[in-house]
Amino acid sequence: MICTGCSCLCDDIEFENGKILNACEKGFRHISGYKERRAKNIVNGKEVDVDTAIDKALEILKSTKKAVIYGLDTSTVEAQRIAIKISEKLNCYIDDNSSFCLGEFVEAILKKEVPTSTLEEVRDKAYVILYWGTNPYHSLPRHMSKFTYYPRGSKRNRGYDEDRFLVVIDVRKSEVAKLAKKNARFIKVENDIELIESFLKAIEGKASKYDVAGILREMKRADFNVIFGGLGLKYGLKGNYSYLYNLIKKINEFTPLFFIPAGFHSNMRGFNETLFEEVRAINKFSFLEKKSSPSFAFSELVKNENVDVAMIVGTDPLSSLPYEVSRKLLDMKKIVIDPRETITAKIAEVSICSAFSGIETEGEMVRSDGIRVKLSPIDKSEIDDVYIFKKILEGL
Amino acid sequence: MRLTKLMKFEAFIVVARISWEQKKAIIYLNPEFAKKNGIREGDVVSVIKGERKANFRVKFLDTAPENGGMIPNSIYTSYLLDFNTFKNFRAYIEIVEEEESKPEEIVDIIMNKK
Amino acid sequence: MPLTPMEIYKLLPKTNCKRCGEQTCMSFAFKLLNRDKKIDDCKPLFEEKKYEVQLKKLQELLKPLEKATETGLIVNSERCNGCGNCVVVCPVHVERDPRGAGIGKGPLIRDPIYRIENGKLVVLNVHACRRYGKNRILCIVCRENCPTDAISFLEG
Repeated sequence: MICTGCSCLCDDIEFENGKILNACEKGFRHISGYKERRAKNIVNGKEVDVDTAIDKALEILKSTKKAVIYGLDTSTVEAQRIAIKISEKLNCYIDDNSSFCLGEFVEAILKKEVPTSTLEEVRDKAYVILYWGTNPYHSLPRHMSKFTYYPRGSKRNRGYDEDRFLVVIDVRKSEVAKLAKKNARFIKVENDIELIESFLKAIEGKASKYDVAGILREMKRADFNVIFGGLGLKYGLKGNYSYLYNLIKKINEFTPLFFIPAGFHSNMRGFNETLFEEVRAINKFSFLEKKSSPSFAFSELVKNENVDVAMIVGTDPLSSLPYEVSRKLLDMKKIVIDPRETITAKIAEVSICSAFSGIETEGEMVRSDGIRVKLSPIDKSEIDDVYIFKKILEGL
Repeated sequence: MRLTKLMKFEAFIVVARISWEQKKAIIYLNPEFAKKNGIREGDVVSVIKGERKANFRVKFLDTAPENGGMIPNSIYTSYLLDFNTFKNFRAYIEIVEEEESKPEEIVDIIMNKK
Repeated sequence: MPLTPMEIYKLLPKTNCKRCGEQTCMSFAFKLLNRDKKIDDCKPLFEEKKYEVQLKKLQELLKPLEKATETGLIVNSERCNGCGNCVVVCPVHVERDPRGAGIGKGPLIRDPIYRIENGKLVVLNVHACRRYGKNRILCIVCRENCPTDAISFLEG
């Protein structure tokens, strides 16, 4: 089975005598707990059947010219495609969590502004493996053991302590930083921009605030190095993404270095890629204006009261977005589509219970490195995102 | 009465994902930092950021930042923060004789019921 | 916390009476830790009243020994999140399961030492461990790569 607990999409999950094998704790909870705390079909506080809830959602969507469709990061690519069609038909906004998560990194990759690779290539070839602003121990628990640092690769078969060089950059000594022992470096960073400047100075052979010359020397020894960039790096850059891409370009002038985003929900990259195929933008897109803009991010639209209806899929903005955004959610109509009960659903006009992608529905997702994975559900639910979205699209 | 109960401490707090199950409002403090400031495991502290605050049960964790703690991504951190402080922030913490915050309480505040 | 022979020694009578069959109390402490001897083998501890408090402390101290496997391994499940580092780094797995655990996947062999079940590390076949048996070596690769100290060994 493919685990859809995070964007690793681990493909070796087995079942034996009622036990789930190989999945991490996070994956185990995701797979074993899918029947718990399920969402209910609700219209204005009253429980209804699913089709009644969908009809009410349609009525709300038809009543506005200022709607946003938001979320979709745990939906399959197939469901995402229909959701995009709905926003096209409604001439409305569409956005996902990547607009405050790792969207910018995926965008740079899709626009080929930064060289990237796959996790299998990393396993087989990578020497310097650098985690920057991410602690995969918690966000992607099997990242290091299944894909990057620990497995033996075809060209790196002598084990992590001889054939890899681990670098961890974080504001604290995280779990992953604790693993940076022999043949490894941990850099406690206060300012990511200054760290990038240190790298640039070290390339020119000059002294700098952070001692990174040794890392560059290690990179030079190999024909394959990789940076995994997480949310800590994104926020540390404070919008100056070109600093990072420029550094990667500079290093590539003397040794190969690739960049892969690390973090996020199971199919966030899938959303970015699916939307990119359609409109050449990865998120915060307006079908009315036919362009993407920072002001079209869900949080900006809500904060500035530029929308009055939100169709929220598989995400919980009331608990995940800052107060200045969440408090404004009250002023608009909300349709929540989610397999699980959420806090946002409690204050929504319409709540529709969907299915867990990959557990109850088949389809495709995109792993954090862009590899497409066919899901292998263990259960079946008739009512899933595809069913709900199709009905909405037909009704419009 | 513990003397530390009258004091406020400035702390550096990282917001991060955790892989284990998360049910209550918990702040994972660096053990050294906590001991230095007279905070014990099991205490409840208020984390005060500007005009907003939320209460957390204290647990110790050696991977928490030296000069503060770590709070898992949650409705509590979202409530306290904005996008400029989304991954880490400075805040005051003080020991309180209250229970940890509950999601419903935060929702009530967000919805302006309180 | 790992247990050391010194900590055990401190709670023994320290008279080197040899009734246990060892030359010194220190060597008895080592044997206790390796589970070659039992606490009952130290007769004075039980016979003489003045050792009563020490005996209680020692019994408390040696409790983890009961939980440990034959290789001295203790898994603290509460600290484990199933990241699988231990499964993949295990030198025995690398050798015997090069297409499974060796390249990061769940073990493909029937009798792996370690496996992740229901999100937690489970010890399945401790007899295959390099720490087991006569020619044992004190391998600690799994422990070294557990970032939460969910794996520990009695000797520390």
